[in-house]
Amino acid sequence: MKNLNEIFDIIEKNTRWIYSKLGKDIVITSRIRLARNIKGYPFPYNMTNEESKEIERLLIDIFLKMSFNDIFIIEVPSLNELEKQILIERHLISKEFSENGAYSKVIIIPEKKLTVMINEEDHLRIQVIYPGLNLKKCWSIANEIDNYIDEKVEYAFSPNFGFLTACPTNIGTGLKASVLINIPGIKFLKKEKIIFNIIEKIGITIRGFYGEGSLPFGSIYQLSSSESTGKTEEEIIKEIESVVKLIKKEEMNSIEEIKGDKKLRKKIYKIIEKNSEDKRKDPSKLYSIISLAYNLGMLKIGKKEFEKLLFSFLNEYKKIKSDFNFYKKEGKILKREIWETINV
Amino acid sequence: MSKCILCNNNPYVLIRFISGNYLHFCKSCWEKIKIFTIKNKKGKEGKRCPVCKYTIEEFNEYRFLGCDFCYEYFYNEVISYLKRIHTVIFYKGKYPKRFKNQKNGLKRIFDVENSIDKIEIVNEEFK
Repeated sequence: MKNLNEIFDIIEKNTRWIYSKLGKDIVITSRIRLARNIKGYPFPYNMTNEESKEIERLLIDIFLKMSFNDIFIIEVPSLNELEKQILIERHLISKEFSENGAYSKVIIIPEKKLTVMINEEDHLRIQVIYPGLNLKKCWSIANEIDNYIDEKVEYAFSPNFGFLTACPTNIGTGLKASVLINIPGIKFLKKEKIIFNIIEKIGITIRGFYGEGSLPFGSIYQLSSSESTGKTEEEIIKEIESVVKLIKKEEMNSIEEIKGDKKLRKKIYKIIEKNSEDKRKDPSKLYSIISLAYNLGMLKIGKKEFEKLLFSFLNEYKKIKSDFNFYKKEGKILKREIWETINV
Repeated sequence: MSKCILCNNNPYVLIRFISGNYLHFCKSCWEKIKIFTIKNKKGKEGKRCPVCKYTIEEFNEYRFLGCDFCYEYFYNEVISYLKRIHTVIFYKGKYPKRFKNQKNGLKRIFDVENSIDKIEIVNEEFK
């Protein structure tokens, strides 16, 4: 067990896996979350401090006995605002969890791409995030961990309702499957409302970058399953995967449409120019338009540089440290090279 | 005489379904399943979970429950709420280890009638 204050940099470096598919796929990350509670204890909002401590000790003890190379156990209330922000940006904890009381802990196990929240809305939330479209892999790991814990504790469960959760919206499988997608082509052509109306009707929820109640980040949206009961875990996952495939196709069609239209491509260049000069530098707008320009082949920038650039937009932490300079430097290269492409 | 649907022991509780089907459970299986509705003829005021002391008023206000037993104690209220927020409310997913041996028997029970808010339980001890 390591002390957070000594090694936050190590945690930051070990959680960059989340963005390793940036620029390569419309799906940035896939996530599986399982909500579980221990039988016989009140749910977190209704617990005494003593009960919270007991749950914490019980669950941490289980994880410490598993054989992982590295396990980081973080006391969320002891984090400063920037440190909390990093974990929120990486989707490792929710904003609500970061505001929780004394007995909230998060366990991060990088080799399994696993995060565990203790005493969030439920006693235990198991979360696996993989880069790209990889829900089956996320489920396989989450299920493995869930089965292991099931050997050690009695879960709150009823054959009537399934796994019992503090909020009835999560009962049943306790599973939420979600993907973070970037659809700059669809967004540029203003097709997203029609597409989202259709997929909402089949039970997929569209949310902003940080999930419920948050705004989209440019053309990045979160798609997640809304029903946790009445279906098997595999059925829930299959549904989202099918929707992602449809959206991918639609994004490719949008890119083709824009490619064939010189006026639209000139418009894209003007937007980049305007946003690069804008002193406020809205990263969400630039993220979308730059990833669109890249997908159209309008950007003469190496793959690695492009991924670094996208990463810098999504990370407050890196921006403050050094990537603001990086971005400025890239801003000059971008402008010059785009100009060359347009005028040839 | 009817026997427990899961283990064939002597029955302790009888569950009736709206379809006219009924099932028996012995005391031990019944304890494991813990499915019942409490017929509260006095009304809902002051209804408080005996385990965690959560009230029905708190559930109506916050839409959260206090503990796992609340799902049984406030069964009728929970079912009404669930019908509004979920398209389907019978359970199809994985079972924890302690229920695995009973899984097939239990699945058969709930396949009989999907509208689980119409389950009626007649318990000799409560009469």
